Amino acid sequence: MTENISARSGTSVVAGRDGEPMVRVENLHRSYGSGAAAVHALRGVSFDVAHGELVALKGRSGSGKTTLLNLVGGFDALDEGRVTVGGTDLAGLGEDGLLELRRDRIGFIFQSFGLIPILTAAENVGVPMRLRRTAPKERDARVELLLALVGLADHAEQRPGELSGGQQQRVAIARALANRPALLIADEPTGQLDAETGLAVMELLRAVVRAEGVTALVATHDAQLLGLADRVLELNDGHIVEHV
Amino acid sequence: MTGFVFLRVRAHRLLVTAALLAVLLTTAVLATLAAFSGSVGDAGLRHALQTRDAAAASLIIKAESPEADRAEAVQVRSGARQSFDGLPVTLREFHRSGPYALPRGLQPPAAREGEPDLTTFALADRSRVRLSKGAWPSAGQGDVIGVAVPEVAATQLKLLPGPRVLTLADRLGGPAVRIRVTGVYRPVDRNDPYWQLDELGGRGVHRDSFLTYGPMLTDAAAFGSGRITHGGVSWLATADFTTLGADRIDSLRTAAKNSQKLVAARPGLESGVTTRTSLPDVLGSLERALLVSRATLLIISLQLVLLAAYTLLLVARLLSTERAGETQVLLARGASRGRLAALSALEALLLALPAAALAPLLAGPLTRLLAGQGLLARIGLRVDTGPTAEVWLVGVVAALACAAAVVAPALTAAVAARGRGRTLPAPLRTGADIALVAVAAVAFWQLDRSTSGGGALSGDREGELGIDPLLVVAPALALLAGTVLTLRLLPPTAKLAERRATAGRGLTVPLAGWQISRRPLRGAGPVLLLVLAVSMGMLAIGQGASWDRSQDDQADFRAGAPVRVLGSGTSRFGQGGVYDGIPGVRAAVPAARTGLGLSGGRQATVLALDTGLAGTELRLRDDLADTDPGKLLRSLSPKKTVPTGVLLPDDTVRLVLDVTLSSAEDGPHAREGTTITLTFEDRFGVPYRLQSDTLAPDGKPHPMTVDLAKAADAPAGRPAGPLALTGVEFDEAGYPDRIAAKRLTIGGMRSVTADGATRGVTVPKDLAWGAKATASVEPDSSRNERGPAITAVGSSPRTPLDVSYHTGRVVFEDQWGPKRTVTVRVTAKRGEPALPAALATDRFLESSGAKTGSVIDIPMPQGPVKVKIVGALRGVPTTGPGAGALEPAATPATDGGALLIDLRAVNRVLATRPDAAFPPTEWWLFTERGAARQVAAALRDRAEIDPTQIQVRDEIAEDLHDDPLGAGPQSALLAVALVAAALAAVGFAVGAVGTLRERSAEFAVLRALGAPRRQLARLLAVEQSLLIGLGLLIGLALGAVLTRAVVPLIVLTGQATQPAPGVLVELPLGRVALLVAGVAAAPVFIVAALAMRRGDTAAAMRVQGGE
Repeated sequence: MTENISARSGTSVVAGRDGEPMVRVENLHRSYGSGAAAVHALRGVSFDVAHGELVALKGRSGSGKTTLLNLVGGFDALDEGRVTVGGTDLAGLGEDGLLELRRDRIGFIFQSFGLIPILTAAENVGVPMRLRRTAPKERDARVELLLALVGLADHAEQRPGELSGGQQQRVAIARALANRPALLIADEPTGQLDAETGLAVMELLRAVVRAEGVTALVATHDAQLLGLADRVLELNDGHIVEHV
Repeated sequence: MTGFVFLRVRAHRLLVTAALLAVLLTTAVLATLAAFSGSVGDAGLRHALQTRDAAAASLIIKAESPEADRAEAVQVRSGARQSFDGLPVTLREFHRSGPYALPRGLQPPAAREGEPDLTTFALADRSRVRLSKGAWPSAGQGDVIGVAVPEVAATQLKLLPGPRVLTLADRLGGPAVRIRVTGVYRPVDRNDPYWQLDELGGRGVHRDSFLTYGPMLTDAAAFGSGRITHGGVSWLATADFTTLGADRIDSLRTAAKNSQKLVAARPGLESGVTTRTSLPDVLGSLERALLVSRATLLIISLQLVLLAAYTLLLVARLLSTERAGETQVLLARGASRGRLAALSALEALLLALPAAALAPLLAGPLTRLLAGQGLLARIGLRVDTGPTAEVWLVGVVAALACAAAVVAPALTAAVAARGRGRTLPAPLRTGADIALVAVAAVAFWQLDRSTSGGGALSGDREGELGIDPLLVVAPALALLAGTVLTLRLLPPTAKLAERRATAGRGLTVPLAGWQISRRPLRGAGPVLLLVLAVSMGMLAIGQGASWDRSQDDQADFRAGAPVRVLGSGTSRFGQGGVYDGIPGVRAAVPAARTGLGLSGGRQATVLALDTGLAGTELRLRDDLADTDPGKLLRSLSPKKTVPTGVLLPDDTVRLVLDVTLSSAEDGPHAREGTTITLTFEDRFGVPYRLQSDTLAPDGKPHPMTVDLAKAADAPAGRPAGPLALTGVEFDEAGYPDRIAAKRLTIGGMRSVTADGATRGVTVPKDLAWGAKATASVEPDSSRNERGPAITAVGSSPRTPLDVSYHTGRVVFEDQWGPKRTVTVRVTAKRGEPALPAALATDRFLESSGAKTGSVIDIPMPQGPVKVKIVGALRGVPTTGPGAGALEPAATPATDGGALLIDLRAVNRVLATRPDAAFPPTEWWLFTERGAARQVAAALRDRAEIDPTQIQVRDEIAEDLHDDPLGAGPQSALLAVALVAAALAAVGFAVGAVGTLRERSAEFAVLRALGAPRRQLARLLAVEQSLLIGLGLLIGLALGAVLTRAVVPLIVLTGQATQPAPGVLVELPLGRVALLVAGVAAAPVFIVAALAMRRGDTAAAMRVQGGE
């Protein structure tokens, strides 16, 4: 399945043994502060995410979803446990290794879109490719493809301030896919959108995940959106409770 | 509400601290400048009156009657004190006698045939003199009066303390006086104003018609004994100006003007007393200098206000932007805009109050710091640095104004616009910047054409000078306009950069380019700050360096030469050779000047200089002419010609001629004697006529002696040899009743040296004479009268001159009729003199309507001389209103410019006319390097030269540089440049930190997308470096343009006039480089520090994504 998707979409598939999950989280602990005031955001969280799976991470506000995503994304340090992405243990990577991981293998989508306000939609989508120093022609072609993929081909020259929230999030999705990541991490991608727009974005996300053959880990508390996921993991008091 | 204000302040402590720093810096500097202006002004005023202008500021009271002579000192002191507006006064007396003749035995043998040397007695203030030998005279020496003689008299007359008694004859007919020298003295300080009371100025000797030594100091008993003819008493009153301030100038001037009335009102002084002081003129001059000083400081202050205001607005705008969200929340929760404004105002007061309290207190130490540097420290100026009411006022007003600047953006805060940012702010889009440029252009034009005053000063209807607000603000307006125009240039420049930058693969440069081109207002703030700081700094550096250079240029222009002698007591004939023997003199150039009246009441100066000598010595600034001014000067020199006449050996002190006059009988009323006058030309081509003996027509050779040494007033004087005999003139008075052949021959010439050696004078083989005979009365042909005529003239080596002539025939009426004199004039033949060339100043050409190529008449002895204008200069050294007090037309309104001609060329023309010459009236001495002061000192020791007639270029330069009122503002310029750099650093730091904060989310996203920390650091560095580079480059360009345009208009002389020559703008590259480095250092350091910061990406992501 993974290979078929790879051949079809041309994504870079992380090499690994067949059956190896895309993401493996083992006994993850993360706390903030110390002493009596310490906040234990994650208490021994463990789960796997298979290749090509769309996993939703559910939990109320302050349950640790963002913390978990940050740890999987490699820009926070865990207290205890292990995170493996595409067979690579994040603990064995230095800062440069983590950066390379985020640049080449992981795509991020943020609740507040995270677009650079002074850049156009096309320029925003092109940022990850500039970080990778992709040749300009290839970059421009990929930007055009991705904007078409998310239905914003006609809005390439508009800046985030001139786009609606839904359109901005679509641009963010296109940007996240720029370097053909193996894993997409989305933190409350519909958090600032209305229900209808949020659903549309979520559907797009699912379609893109399927089309590109990427694995997705999405944090959301929206029940409607949870239904679109392959699997739902619930974070409660720092622990994972899995729903089917 | 106060608690909430403190909470808000704490939340944005970085920006608030920056604002506080900017407010404090600005207020402190402005208060310091106010204190500096006042204290340096007062100190400079006192310094000038106590040093440079001490003599002119003193009051001389002279008793001209016996009653006034007996006046009590206390009354004189009281009158003097009133004349000084109540200032404490020191009074010194000087009693002098009439003139006495020294014994002939004291004169050199050669001088004993002339006038006797003279002396006077005096009773002087003993604190002004110092005994170098012997003892002071005391009473009780019988009829012999004890005297102390001045050192120079003791040396020259060989007078030493001893028993020798000398008898002095009273020149006013009184009884002779017997004296004995008891001591030798010298003045403690020859420049002390006290010596104005002595006719010899404390020099001990003076030569004009007589050689006068003295005064001989004696004791009061001798003066009171009646043995000495009393000449009068005079007093010198000097005021203690240590408490004088600029606010008392008017009352002091009024009192000084009324000194005659005030002194004469005192008992015992009602009649026979005269007062003399130049204090009113000095005060007028100092008042103008104070105005110039204040205007300069005001100009500097306004620029600083501009920079400070912009820094504060920038800080306040950033503060307002940071609080935009907070403001929205408060508005949404029901806070009115007025309440928000009140919050901001309260915050601003928290900033203003400490500044208002501290700044005036800091002004004192900072003023001392400023005054303790550079020129002011060297002058030794003492300034009062206590905070005055004016300083407190400036501090409070400045602090409040700064507070207003901080509040302003909050009052106009609007919701941040969504969507595309505008490239230009609203005022620019409406063209307000163009309007500002127009206003600045008008102000600049006014500054340029300001004629009634100078620079930023202008005169009112009554002619009173004052500071013109528009003119003072013109440089700041020009700075602002130039800076604001930059805003228009930024977007297109950035767009250009953006296109080039985005074509590549990477992110750093394109993102930096996008930031600058798409958010120009964000970048414009720091850029404009740097532009302002660099431009201002360059203006300050340029003004200071140009002022410095201008003082040297003015000194060169005023002096003309390293040493210039304007007059001498020796005869003109004896002046030319004096300077040959003075060590250190490389060339002595003669000069003469006369006036030329032009239309409209203007007066031009004609300066005749030996350009052949001056052409290689005189340095003219390159900008004084469109072509090489040195070449133009040398073009005035006439072609060298073969020397005419009979050249005498250079060491000739007497010339002996064997002259024979033979005459046929020509009637009973014929001659009354034949007077021989010889014309000698010195090496500068100046003719001098020296009368010789009267000759009898007995046909026998008579040796006639011309005493050249005596004519030159030797040993003091010496002609500029070698001399040439170029003319012989003989006058014969009488009434010949028939044509009678006469013949005058010079059979031989002998030169006698100082040691008596005699040798023959070689007569050139090709010597040719021309002769002309004229009569003082025209012959009446109706009575068969005939005029005189030359029948033959010739020369040979054995008979240098042989002229045959007759004196005509005239009918004798009676002895009461018009006296008839026949003059036979024999001159050495020379070629027709060329038309002298002249260089004219632009002012002359404009005033006279002449142009290059015009031939004009110059008034000269025996008729005008035509000269041809061959070139134009912008100025001729030592001429014009800015060059000193020599000119008859010393004001800009009556100045008709100047003409420069060659002295030798003019005298060649005059040599063809009888008794016509243009002798030098001043001597320009070009000295060996570093020898000027030594030469001046040697000249000042000479009896025949009045020290005030000696101008030394280095002394003029020193006076100009050391003028505290001129130098004061220059000290402030450096401080202003430093403050500009500091304000720019504060503003830039705030801008950079604000940028970082605003983009922290953006940077977190980029980190999340995989951008390494160092790439983000590079991004920040590139972006800020582009801004810094842009700001510095534009600042350099704008600064260079403004400096060159503005500095010549605001650098004035102490008399509020344009300097002569005009100001040449200097921008020392080294100092500019230091400025740029200084302005850039802080921003570069700040950017580097920010780039090295390690942010917490995870924390930023949490803020981004929520929990």
